[in-house]
Amino acid sequence: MSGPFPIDGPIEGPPVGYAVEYAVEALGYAPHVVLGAYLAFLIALGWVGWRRSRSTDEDFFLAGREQGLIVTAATIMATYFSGWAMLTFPGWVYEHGVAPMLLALNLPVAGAAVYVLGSRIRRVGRARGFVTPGDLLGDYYGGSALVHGLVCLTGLLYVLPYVIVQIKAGGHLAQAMFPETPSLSLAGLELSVYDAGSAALAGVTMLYVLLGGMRSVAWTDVAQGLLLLAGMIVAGVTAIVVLGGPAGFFQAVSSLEPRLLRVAGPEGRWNPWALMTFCAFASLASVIQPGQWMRMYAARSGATLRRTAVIFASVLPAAYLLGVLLVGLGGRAITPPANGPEGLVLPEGLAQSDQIVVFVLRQHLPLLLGGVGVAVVAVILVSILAASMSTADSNLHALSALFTRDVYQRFLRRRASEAERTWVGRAVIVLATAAALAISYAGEANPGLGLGTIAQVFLLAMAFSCQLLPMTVDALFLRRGTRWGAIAGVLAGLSVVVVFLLRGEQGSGWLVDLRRLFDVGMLGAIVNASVFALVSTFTPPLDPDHVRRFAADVRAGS
Amino acid sequence: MRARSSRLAFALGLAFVVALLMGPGPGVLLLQPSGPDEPPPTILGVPGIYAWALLWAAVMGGVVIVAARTVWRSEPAD
Repeated sequence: MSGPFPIDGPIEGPPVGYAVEYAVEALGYAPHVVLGAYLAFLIALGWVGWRRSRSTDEDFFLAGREQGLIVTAATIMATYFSGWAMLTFPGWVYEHGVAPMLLALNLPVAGAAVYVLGSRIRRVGRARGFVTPGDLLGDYYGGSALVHGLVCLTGLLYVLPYVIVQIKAGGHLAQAMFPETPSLSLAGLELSVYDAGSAALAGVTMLYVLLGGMRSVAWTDVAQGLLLLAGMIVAGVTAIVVLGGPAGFFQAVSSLEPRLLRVAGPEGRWNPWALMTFCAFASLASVIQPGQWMRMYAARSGATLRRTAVIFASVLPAAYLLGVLLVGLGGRAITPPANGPEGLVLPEGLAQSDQIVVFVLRQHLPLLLGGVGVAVVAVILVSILAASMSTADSNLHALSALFTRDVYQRFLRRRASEAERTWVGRAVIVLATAAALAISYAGEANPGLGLGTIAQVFLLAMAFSCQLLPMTVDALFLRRGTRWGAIAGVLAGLSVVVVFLLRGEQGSGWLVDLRRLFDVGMLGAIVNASVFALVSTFTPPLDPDHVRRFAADVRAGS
Repeated sequence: MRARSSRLAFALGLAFVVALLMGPGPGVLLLQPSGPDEPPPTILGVPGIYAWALLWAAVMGGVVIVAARTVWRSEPAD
């Protein structure tokens, strides 16, 4: 998930692979067939995107700014979610009870932001030909190279760890789906199934992003988003049916231990302050991360974003609260863990709580639906893979845009032609995929290499992205800040997040207490906004004519 | 007409913030049992916090739907 659910989670290695391995054991060749068909379909979509593309960076990065409702809604949704939606989040509910369910209330906040922020980003982006967040914010703050560079850096802090972690997850998924496959020897190199799998999955993702750019990414997101939504709803319905219908289900979950049916106090992880600030700020941070920001530019009209906001704020919370999260809660009643001296002892066959959806579906869908049930489980397994791929492709594509527009064009070759920029964007995709693969291999071969740091940055990626919020709100609504205020604010906000990153979550002290009580992104944004306002009162304002013209474009667009 | 739209926008914004405070925020403590051994409340047989999450998700989603049909519609067309 590229969206705001990973407030805490496993640091080393993704949980996805273990869950899939567990389910594959009893499913024969169904996952192989569904996976093969799915990958072939993705490449076909990439090819169609290539056939319809033009050699302009606006086409490659923004699909010609002509994305309609279905594609816009699906690509924003698929970019927002990753494997966390089907695994980690229900796992939290299984382990901790109903309190984590309140995190689903971040979805209406994100939905509202899609229109409130997105419509203004889209209008001014269309009027002025912006492609990246840095284009908009750099332009507003007087064409400042420093602002442009800082916005790009903040975007990279979000995008880079996402690409690496998702490609690593691809390797673990392959390892889990084909556990019996022996190592291959190719040109003197020994390739494990992890190596070959991550290379193949990264290669397919790279191929369709390379071919069709945003168009292919968005089209594949439609398939991936629909698959994910269907999987979430099927999972919830299965849990209810297994417990004898709605009445039986709620009777069973109401009888769970009382501590599972309440929120935590200030000393606990699932306290209301942490839940609320996460819902408010992590959702906004996820909507203004580079990949989503570019999707606002790419929308055909304000009406497209308005309807997308309605779908996002209504359908997605329902899919969570009435769908997949019920498996976490129902799973606790269906297969309860035991309380051991060192914590929970999970039932046999359930190695980690993240597997609960796969565990319940594999146990019960074949019994309920026979052969069709086996096929449905296989499709849901591939939907977990699809969720990871849709996150990787969006971030890979955004990374390409950030480098091409904010670094290559801004600092290296100002006069590069559109065709040249498009090819540079493609080269970045190849190089970034190769680099992410190399880092993933190195981390797998040498666990002491420090990939835990990348995983930590990944967990705080939304907090980094949140530091663009004060500047974004000022440029789109307030227009009172100065260039130096914006620069000082972002630097202060990023520094706060880095302090929390270095301090970690272990031990005690006021920093650990603050991190447990509030969203780190919010803490950084408060410092950021305060410094921004303070410095803006003492530094020269922006040219009033420039601000007036920019405001006119924000309000009216082209 | 414009003043009416502004009032509606303010009311919707306020409702959204209240929903955020009440739903995942401190408002959820209203459902918290006073003692550790006291059973958590249920609403029509449904665990209280789950029903609470559904209620405030519906309020927030409803605000977005009303805003999309009223306030946001009156914003400039392309």
